[in-house]
Amino acid sequence: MYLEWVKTFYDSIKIIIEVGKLFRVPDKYKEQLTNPEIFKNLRDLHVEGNLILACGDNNQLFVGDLEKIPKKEKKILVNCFLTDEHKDIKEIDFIEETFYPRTKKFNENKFVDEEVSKILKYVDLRIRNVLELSFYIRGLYKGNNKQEAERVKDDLGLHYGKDGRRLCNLYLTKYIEALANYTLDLFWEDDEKIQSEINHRIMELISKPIFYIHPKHDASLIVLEIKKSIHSREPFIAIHATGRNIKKAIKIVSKINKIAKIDYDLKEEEKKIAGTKFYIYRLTLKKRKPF
Amino acid sequence: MGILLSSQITKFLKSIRVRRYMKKKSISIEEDNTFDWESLFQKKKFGFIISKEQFRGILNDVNVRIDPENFLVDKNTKLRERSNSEEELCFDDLGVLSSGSKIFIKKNLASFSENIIEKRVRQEG
Repeated sequence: MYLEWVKTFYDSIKIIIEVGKLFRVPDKYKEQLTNPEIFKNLRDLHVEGNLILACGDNNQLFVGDLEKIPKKEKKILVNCFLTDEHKDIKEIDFIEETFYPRTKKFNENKFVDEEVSKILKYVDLRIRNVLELSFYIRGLYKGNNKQEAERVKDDLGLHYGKDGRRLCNLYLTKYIEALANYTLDLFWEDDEKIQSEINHRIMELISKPIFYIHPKHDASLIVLEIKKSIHSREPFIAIHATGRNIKKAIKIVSKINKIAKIDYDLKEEEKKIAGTKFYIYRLTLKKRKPF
Repeated sequence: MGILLSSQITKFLKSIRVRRYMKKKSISIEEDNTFDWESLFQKKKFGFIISKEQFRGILNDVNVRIDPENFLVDKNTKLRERSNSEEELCFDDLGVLSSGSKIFIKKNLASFSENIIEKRVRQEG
């Protein structure tokens, strides 16, 4: 059925492409043409096999023959790739056709996390990228597209390693949102301070057992995580909470206090900044005494 | 002069042929859907979706060859090209070639998205 549709479509545009022009694809066919299987069939019908899709402003899509780019335009095209300039040159991409549907879907993604987005302007490029991809992953899970969500997570792992994956998981489990709210409240409107603190705090969160409490967190799971960290003798464990999360943090602390006392020095701190209450509970591994 | 006139006449005749041909076909065209390359190239931002094989030709145009181990090599410097994450790049891993100093992006959404954010940050100054 696909092949029949492709043949009809191709027959209709054949001459336009042969005379070296581009054919603007009507909106109703765009979705079908960006399917790699359909496009491959369309290309197979073309004698030279140089058929391409070109996408322009306003999401317009064209079909044309790559070999028929006029010499003058080809020169402009090639020069855009050979220059060292980044500003004031045309933004042109050649995208491999099996990768294109994924990039298209990503570009169309509208899922933004309003809370965590507040810290994007302060964080390093790599952290920002992981967070923005994590917003996308969360949107894919919400839209029941688990397969692509897992694929993007794998991409993150390949590109940024274990830390990238962990940051994504910390975001998906609300730790980053809690950290963001906590840090923004703590250094209220002090952009410089927020910038210098936020990257450090995120990296610390990735590498150490530090917990920022969020209303959606399951307290019993956090207790379990902290107990695991105590058993593996992590040198430093901390729990941070602000406002209405403090009650939950104190409940968590009451469940681990007894076991933590054995090997850890405990320090509990409460403070109020600009009308907001902060709670920090720190566990530092005791130095071992000689026998 | 004569050659120029003849090519314009041929172009005109072809465009009439195109319109007649399109009218006969089942995919009706309410408006003129033909488009010149020149008009496309006037746009500031556009992309080409191409096959892996077509990538070889484009790489050749921008002075890149593929070495026997399948890595991309700059024809002038003889050095292996690197992706935006600074890794040597295999032809099979190439997902996007982006303008401005040949930016090679891996067939990996994290690599792709990093490039978009980099551009956005640069534009924001």
